[in-house]
Amino acid sequence: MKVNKIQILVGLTVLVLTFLITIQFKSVTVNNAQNSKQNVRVDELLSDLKRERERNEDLEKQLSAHQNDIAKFREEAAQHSGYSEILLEQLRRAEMLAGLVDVKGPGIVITLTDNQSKSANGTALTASESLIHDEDIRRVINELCAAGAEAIAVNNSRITSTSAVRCVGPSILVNDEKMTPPYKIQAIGKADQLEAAMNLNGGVIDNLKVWGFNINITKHEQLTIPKYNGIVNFSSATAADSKTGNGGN
Amino acid sequence: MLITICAIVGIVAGILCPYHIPDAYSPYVAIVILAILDSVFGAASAATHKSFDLNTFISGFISNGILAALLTYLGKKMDVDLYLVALIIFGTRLFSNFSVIRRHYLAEIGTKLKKKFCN
Repeated sequence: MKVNKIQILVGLTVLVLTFLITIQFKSVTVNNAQNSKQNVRVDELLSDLKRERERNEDLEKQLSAHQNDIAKFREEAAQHSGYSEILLEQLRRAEMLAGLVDVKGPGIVITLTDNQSKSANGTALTASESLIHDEDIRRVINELCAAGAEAIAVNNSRITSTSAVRCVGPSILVNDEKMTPPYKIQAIGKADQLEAAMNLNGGVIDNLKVWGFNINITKHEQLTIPKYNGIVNFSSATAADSKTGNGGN
Repeated sequence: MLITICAIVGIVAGILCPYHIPDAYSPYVAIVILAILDSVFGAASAATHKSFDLNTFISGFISNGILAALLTYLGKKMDVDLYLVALIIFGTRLFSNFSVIRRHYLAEIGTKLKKKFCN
Protein backbone atom coordinates (compact mmCIF):
# COMPACT_ATOMS: atom_id res chain seq x y z
CA MET A 1 0.00 0.00 0.00
CA LYS A 2 2.74 2.41 0.94
CA VAL A 3 4.82 1.50 -2.06
CA ASN A 4 1.84 2.19 -4.29
CA LYS A 5 1.33 5.63 -2.79
CA ILE A 6 4.96 6.49 -3.37
CA GLN A 7 4.82 5.18 -6.91
CA ILE A 8 1.73 7.22 -7.68
CA LEU A 9 3.21 10.42 -6.28
CA VAL A 10 6.56 10.01 -7.99
CA GLY A 11 4.69 9.09 -11.15
CA LEU A 12 2.61 12.25 -10.91
CA THR A 13 5.75 14.30 -10.43
CA VAL A 14 7.33 12.73 -13.47
CA LEU A 15 4.11 13.42 -15.38
CA VAL A 16 4.24 17.09 -14.45
CA LEU A 17 7.95 17.17 -15.27
CA THR A 18 7.60 15.71 -18.75
CA PHE A 19 4.52 17.81 -19.43
CA LEU A 20 6.38 20.99 -18.50
CA ILE A 21 9.45 20.00 -20.51
CA THR A 22 7.48 19.34 -23.68
CA ILE A 23 5.40 22.47 -23.34
CA GLN A 24 8.53 24.51 -22.67
CA PHE A 25 10.20 23.06 -25.77
CA LYS A 26 7.16 24.00 -27.80
CA SER A 27 6.94 27.50 -26.28
CA VAL A 28 10.59 28.27 -26.89
CA THR A 29 10.26 27.22 -30.54
CA VAL A 30 7.07 29.25 -31.01
CA ASN A 31 8.44 32.32 -29.20
CA ASN A 32 11.68 32.29 -31.16
CA ALA A 33 9.77 32.08 -34.41
CA GLN A 34 7.54 34.98 -33.35
CA ASN A 35 10.50 37.12 -32.28
CA SER A 36 12.32 36.65 -35.55
CA LYS A 37 9.12 37.49 -37.41
CA GLN A 38 8.73 40.67 -35.36
CA ASN A 39 12.34 41.65 -36.03
CA VAL A 40 11.81 41.28 -39.76
CA ARG A 41 8.70 43.44 -39.51
CA VAL A 42 10.55 46.12 -37.53
CA ASP A 43 13.33 46.17 -40.12
CA GLU A 44 10.79 46.55 -42.91
CA LEU A 45 9.01 49.38 -41.13
CA LEU A 46 12.30 51.11 -40.40
CA SER A 47 13.35 51.10 -44.03
CA ASP A 48 9.86 52.29 -45.02
CA LEU A 49 10.12 55.11 -42.52
CA LYS A 50 13.54 56.09 -43.82
CA ARG A 51 12.32 56.14 -47.40
CA GLU A 52 9.29 58.24 -46.47
CA ARG A 53 11.46 60.66 -44.54
CA GLU A 54 13.74 61.13 -47.52
CA ARG A 55 10.73 61.70 -49.77
CA ASN A 56 9.40 64.18 -47.25
CA GLU A 57 12.64 66.11 -47.29
CA ASP A 58 12.64 66.24 -51.08
CA LEU A 59 9.08 67.50 -51.10
CA GLU A 60 9.88 70.15 -48.53
CA LYS A 61 12.76 71.34 -50.69
CA GLN A 62 10.40 71.50 -53.66
CA LEU A 63 7.86 73.42 -51.61
CA SER A 64 10.36 76.05 -50.52
CA ALA A 65 11.58 76.39 -54.13
CA HIS A 66 8.01 77.03 -55.29
CA GLN A 67 7.45 79.50 -52.49
CA ASN A 68 10.55 81.41 -53.60
CA ASP A 69 9.16 81.49 -57.12
CA ILE A 70 5.89 82.93 -55.87
CA ALA A 71 7.68 85.59 -53.87
CA LYS A 72 9.68 86.57 -56.95
CA PHE A 73 6.56 86.81 -59.12
CA ARG A 74 4.89 88.93 -56.50
CA GLU A 75 7.76 91.39 -56.30
CA GLU A 76 7.82 91.72 -60.05
CA ALA A 77 4.10 92.28 -60.16
CA ALA A 78 4.26 94.94 -57.46
CA GLN A 79 6.90 96.85 -59.35
CA HIS A 80 4.83 97.00 -62.50
CA SER A 81 1.64 98.92 -61.78
CA GLY A 82 -0.84 100.28 -59.26
CA TYR A 83 -3.41 97.70 -60.28
CA SER A 84 -1.14 94.87 -59.34
CA GLU A 85 -0.51 96.59 -56.01
CA ILE A 86 -4.21 96.35 -55.27
CA LEU A 87 -4.14 92.74 -56.34
CA LEU A 88 -1.18 92.17 -54.04
CA GLU A 89 -3.07 93.74 -51.16
CA GLN A 90 -6.02 91.48 -51.80
CA LEU A 91 -3.73 88.50 -52.08
CA ARG A 92 -2.16 89.33 -48.74
CA ARG A 93 -5.57 89.57 -47.12
CA ALA A 94 -6.63 86.27 -48.63
CA GLU A 95 -3.45 84.63 -47.42
CA MET A 96 -4.02 85.90 -43.91
CA LEU A 97 -7.55 84.55 -44.00
CA ALA A 98 -6.32 81.19 -45.22
CA GLY A 99 -3.52 81.10 -42.65
CA LEU A 100 -0.75 81.00 -45.26
CA VAL A 101 1.38 83.77 -43.76
CA ASP A 102 2.90 84.27 -40.34
CA VAL A 103 0.88 86.77 -38.33
CA LYS A 104 1.65 88.73 -35.20
CA GLY A 105 -0.33 90.79 -32.75
CA PRO A 106 -1.62 90.82 -29.21
CA GLY A 107 -3.24 87.67 -27.90
CA ILE A 108 -3.28 84.93 -25.31
CA VAL A 109 -1.57 81.59 -24.85
CA ILE A 110 -3.43 78.78 -23.10
CA THR A 111 -1.28 75.93 -21.84
CA LEU A 112 -3.02 72.63 -21.08
CA THR A 113 -1.18 69.91 -19.20
CA ASP A 114 -2.39 66.40 -18.41
CA ASN A 115 -3.53 65.68 -14.88
CA GLN A 116 -0.56 63.98 -13.22
CA SER A 117 -1.94 63.67 -9.70
CA LYS A 118 -3.59 60.57 -8.33
CA SER A 119 -7.25 60.09 -7.57
CA ALA A 120 -8.69 60.33 -4.08
CA ASN A 121 -8.17 56.66 -3.25
CA GLY A 122 -4.52 56.78 -4.33
CA THR A 123 -4.79 54.72 -7.50
CA ALA A 124 -3.48 56.05 -10.79
CA LEU A 125 -6.10 57.75 -12.92
CA THR A 126 -7.37 56.07 -16.07
CA ALA A 127 -6.41 57.49 -19.45
CA SER A 128 -9.85 59.03 -19.96
CA GLU A 129 -9.61 60.84 -16.63
CA SER A 130 -6.04 62.12 -16.76
CA LEU A 131 -5.37 62.90 -20.43
CA ILE A 132 -6.37 65.92 -22.43
CA HIS A 133 -8.45 64.80 -25.37
CA ASP A 134 -8.85 66.08 -28.87
CA GLU A 135 -12.34 67.15 -27.89
CA ASP A 136 -11.00 69.44 -25.14
CA ILE A 137 -8.67 71.16 -27.61
CA ARG A 138 -11.50 71.50 -30.12
CA ARG A 139 -13.71 73.10 -27.51
CA VAL A 140 -11.06 75.66 -26.60
CA ILE A 141 -10.48 76.48 -30.27
CA ASN A 142 -14.20 76.81 -30.85
CA GLU A 143 -14.58 79.17 -27.92
CA LEU A 144 -11.61 81.26 -29.10
CA CYS A 145 -13.16 81.57 -32.56
CA ALA A 146 -16.43 82.63 -31.00
CA ALA A 147 -14.61 85.27 -28.97
CA GLY A 148 -13.14 86.84 -32.09
CA ALA A 149 -9.72 85.26 -32.37
CA GLU A 150 -8.16 86.09 -35.73
CA ALA A 151 -5.49 83.42 -35.83
CA ILE A 152 -5.12 80.27 -33.77
CA ALA A 153 -2.37 77.68 -33.54
CA VAL A 154 -1.88 74.57 -31.42
CA ASN A 155 1.78 73.95 -30.54
CA ASN A 156 2.74 76.18 -33.51
CA SER A 157 0.50 74.31 -35.93
CA ARG A 158 -1.83 76.84 -37.52
CA ILE A 159 -5.54 76.15 -37.43
CA THR A 160 -7.02 76.79 -40.86
CA SER A 161 -10.47 76.32 -42.32
CA THR A 162 -9.58 72.72 -43.19
CA SER A 163 -7.69 71.84 -40.00
CA ALA A 164 -8.70 68.75 -38.09
CA VAL A 165 -7.98 67.99 -34.45
CA ARG A 166 -8.23 64.34 -33.71
CA CYS A 167 -7.15 61.65 -31.32
CA VAL A 168 -4.53 59.03 -32.15
CA GLY A 169 -3.84 56.78 -29.20
CA PRO A 170 -2.03 58.72 -26.48
CA SER A 171 -1.40 61.81 -28.60
CA ILE A 172 -3.38 64.29 -30.61
CA LEU A 173 -3.10 65.05 -34.31
CA VAL A 174 -3.47 68.66 -35.41
CA ASN A 175 -3.14 69.17 -39.18
CA ASP A 176 -1.73 65.61 -39.25
CA GLU A 177 1.10 66.70 -36.96
CA LYS A 178 1.54 64.66 -33.81
CA MET A 179 1.22 66.70 -30.61
CA THR A 180 2.20 65.80 -27.09
CA PRO A 181 1.38 67.64 -23.89
CA PRO A 182 1.73 70.38 -22.82
CA TYR A 183 -0.61 71.71 -25.46
CA LYS A 184 0.00 75.40 -26.13
CA ILE A 185 -2.95 77.03 -27.83
CA GLN A 186 -1.97 80.44 -29.18
CA ALA A 187 -4.60 82.92 -30.31
CA ILE A 188 -4.29 86.42 -31.69
CA GLY A 189 -7.13 88.78 -31.02
CA LYS A 190 -8.23 91.24 -28.35
CA ALA A 191 -6.41 89.67 -25.42
CA ASP A 192 -8.80 90.87 -22.72
CA GLN A 193 -11.80 89.69 -24.66
CA LEU A 194 -10.26 86.28 -25.36
CA GLU A 195 -9.24 85.81 -21.74
CA ALA A 196 -12.69 86.76 -20.50
CA ALA A 197 -14.27 84.29 -22.90
CA MET A 198 -12.02 81.55 -21.62
CA ASN A 199 -12.77 82.31 -17.99
CA LEU A 200 -16.56 82.47 -18.32
CA ASN A 201 -18.38 80.91 -15.41
CA GLY A 202 -19.25 77.38 -16.44
CA GLY A 203 -17.27 77.90 -19.63
CA VAL A 204 -14.60 75.78 -21.28
CA ILE A 205 -11.87 76.25 -18.71
CA ASP A 206 -14.24 75.70 -15.80
CA ASN A 207 -15.32 72.42 -17.36
CA LEU A 208 -11.73 71.31 -17.89
CA LYS A 209 -10.64 72.30 -14.40
CA VAL A 210 -13.13 69.81 -12.97
CA TRP A 211 -10.86 67.07 -14.32
CA GLY A 212 -7.83 68.49 -12.53
CA PHE A 213 -5.95 69.57 -15.66
CA ASN A 214 -3.22 72.13 -15.21
CA ILE A 215 -4.43 75.16 -17.18
CA ASN A 216 -2.45 78.34 -17.59
CA ILE A 217 -3.57 81.44 -19.48
CA THR A 218 -1.10 84.23 -20.26
CA LYS A 219 -1.73 87.46 -22.12
CA HIS A 220 0.87 88.66 -24.59
CA GLU A 221 1.43 92.10 -26.11
CA GLN A 222 3.08 90.63 -29.13
CA LEU A 223 2.49 87.08 -30.25
CA THR A 224 3.67 85.45 -33.46
CA ILE A 225 1.71 82.63 -35.00
CA PRO A 226 3.40 80.68 -37.78
CA LYS A 227 1.77 80.03 -41.12
CA TYR A 228 0.13 76.78 -42.09
CA ASN A 229 2.86 74.41 -43.28
CA GLY A 230 0.83 71.98 -45.32
CA ILE A 231 -0.50 72.26 -48.81
CA VAL A 232 -4.10 73.23 -49.51
CA ASN A 233 -5.46 71.52 -52.57
CA PHE A 234 -8.94 71.88 -53.95
CA SER A 235 -9.73 68.80 -55.96
CA SER A 236 -13.51 68.84 -55.65
CA ALA A 237 -14.45 72.44 -54.96
CA THR A 238 -14.30 75.12 -57.62
CA ALA A 239 -15.45 78.70 -57.22
CA ALA A 240 -19.07 79.07 -58.31
CA ASP A 241 -19.12 81.82 -60.97
CA SER A 242 -20.26 85.05 -59.35
CA LYS A 243 -21.74 86.28 -62.69
CA THR A 244 -24.36 83.54 -62.67
CA GLY A 245 -25.41 84.70 -59.23
CA ASN A 246 -24.88 81.39 -57.49
CA GLY A 247 -22.76 81.16 -54.42
CA GLY A 248 -20.34 84.08 -54.52
CA ASN A 249 -21.19 87.30 -52.72
CA MET B 1 6.34 0.78 -14.98
CA LEU B 2 3.81 3.25 -13.63
CA ILE B 3 6.46 5.96 -13.81
CA THR B 4 7.15 5.24 -17.48
CA ILE B 5 3.44 5.43 -18.28
CA CYS B 6 3.22 8.75 -16.42
CA ALA B 7 6.19 10.10 -18.37
CA ILE B 8 4.59 9.16 -21.68
CA VAL B 9 1.23 10.63 -20.64
CA GLY B 10 3.02 13.86 -19.68
CA ILE B 11 4.78 14.11 -23.04
CA VAL B 12 1.57 13.42 -24.97
CA ALA B 13 -0.35 15.97 -22.88
CA GLY B 14 2.39 18.53 -23.51
CA ILE B 15 2.28 17.95 -27.25
CA LEU B 16 -1.50 18.07 -27.40
CA CYS B 17 -1.82 21.13 -25.15
CA PRO B 18 -2.99 24.00 -27.40
CA TYR B 19 -1.47 26.74 -25.23
CA HIS B 20 2.12 27.83 -25.06
CA ILE B 21 3.95 29.75 -22.36
CA PRO B 22 4.56 33.44 -23.05
CA ASP B 23 8.14 34.57 -23.46
CA ALA B 24 8.12 36.42 -20.13
CA TYR B 25 7.29 33.30 -18.11
CA SER B 26 9.57 30.78 -19.79
CA PRO B 27 12.50 31.39 -17.35
CA TYR B 28 10.18 30.47 -14.46
CA VAL B 29 9.04 27.30 -16.15
CA ALA B 30 12.64 26.38 -16.94
CA ILE B 31 13.70 26.82 -13.33
CA VAL B 32 10.67 24.88 -12.05
CA ILE B 33 11.52 22.07 -14.47
CA LEU B 34 15.01 21.98 -13.04
CA ALA B 35 13.63 21.89 -9.47
CA ILE B 36 11.40 18.94 -10.30
CA LEU B 37 14.23 17.19 -12.13
CA ASP B 38 16.38 17.67 -9.05
CA SER B 39 13.67 16.19 -6.83
CA VAL B 40 13.24 13.18 -9.10
CA PHE B 41 16.97 12.49 -9.19
CA GLY B 42 17.12 13.00 -5.43
CA ALA B 43 14.32 10.47 -5.02
CA ALA B 44 16.09 7.98 -7.26
CA SER B 45 19.35 8.31 -5.37
CA ALA B 46 17.55 8.04 -2.02
CA ALA B 47 15.82 4.90 -3.29
CA THR B 48 19.23 3.28 -3.92
CA HIS B 49 20.01 3.74 -0.23
CA LYS B 50 16.54 2.62 0.72
CA SER B 51 16.23 5.93 2.55
CA PHE B 52 13.45 7.40 0.44
CA ASP B 53 11.03 9.49 2.49
CA LEU B 54 7.80 10.59 0.86
CA ASN B 55 7.38 13.73 2.98
CA THR B 56 10.92 14.88 2.23
CA PHE B 57 10.33 14.27 -1.44
CA ILE B 58 7.07 16.25 -1.65
CA SER B 59 8.14 19.13 0.56
CA GLY B 60 11.49 19.42 -1.22
CA PHE B 61 9.86 19.31 -4.60
CA ILE B 62 7.31 22.04 -3.80
CA SER B 63 9.46 24.37 -1.71
CA ASN B 64 12.46 24.13 -4.06
CA GLY B 65 10.24 24.99 -7.00
CA ILE B 66 8.73 27.99 -5.20
CA LEU B 67 12.08 29.24 -3.93
CA ALA B 68 13.63 28.93 -7.38
CA ALA B 69 10.73 30.80 -9.00
CA LEU B 70 10.93 33.52 -6.33
CA LEU B 71 14.67 33.89 -6.90
CA THR B 72 14.06 34.28 -10.61
CA TYR B 73 11.42 36.93 -9.98
CA LEU B 74 13.62 38.79 -7.50
CA GLY B 75 16.53 38.64 -9.94
CA LYS B 76 14.39 40.09 -12.71
CA LYS B 77 13.29 42.95 -10.47
CA MET B 78 16.83 43.69 -9.36
CA ASP B 79 18.34 43.14 -12.80
CA VAL B 80 20.71 40.51 -11.39
CA ASP B 81 20.56 37.01 -12.85
CA LEU B 82 19.68 35.39 -9.52
CA TYR B 83 18.15 32.37 -11.24
CA LEU B 84 21.76 31.33 -11.94
CA VAL B 85 22.02 30.50 -8.22
CA ALA B 86 19.19 27.99 -8.47
CA LEU B 87 20.55 26.77 -11.80
CA ILE B 88 23.99 25.99 -10.38
CA ILE B 89 22.72 24.42 -7.17
CA PHE B 90 20.23 22.20 -8.96
CA GLY B 91 22.80 21.32 -11.58
CA THR B 92 25.43 20.33 -9.03
CA ARG B 93 22.95 18.26 -7.06
CA LEU B 94 21.72 16.62 -10.22
CA PHE B 95 25.23 15.40 -11.02
CA SER B 96 26.03 14.31 -7.46
CA ASN B 97 22.76 12.40 -7.22
CA PHE B 98 23.43 10.87 -10.59
CA SER B 99 26.87 9.74 -9.45
CA VAL B 100 25.34 8.11 -6.37
CA ILE B 101 22.92 6.21 -8.59
CA ARG B 102 25.74 5.26 -10.99
CA ARG B 103 28.00 3.96 -8.21
CA HIS B 104 25.15 1.96 -6.73
CA TYR B 105 24.40 0.15 -9.98
CA LEU B 106 28.09 -0.28 -10.77
CA ALA B 107 28.57 -1.94 -7.39
CA GLU B 108 25.56 -4.14 -8.01
CA ILE B 109 26.87 -5.24 -11.38
CA GLY B 110 30.30 -5.78 -9.83
CA THR B 111 28.95 -8.16 -7.18
CA LYS B 112 26.93 -10.04 -9.79
CA LEU B 113 30.01 -10.54 -11.97
CA LYS B 114 32.03 -11.71 -8.97
CA LYS B 115 29.41 -14.28 -8.17
CA LYS B 116 29.45 -15.50 -11.75
CA PHE B 117 33.23 -15.88 -11.89
CA CYS B 118 33.53 -17.43 -8.45
CA ASN B 119 30.97 -20.09 -9.24
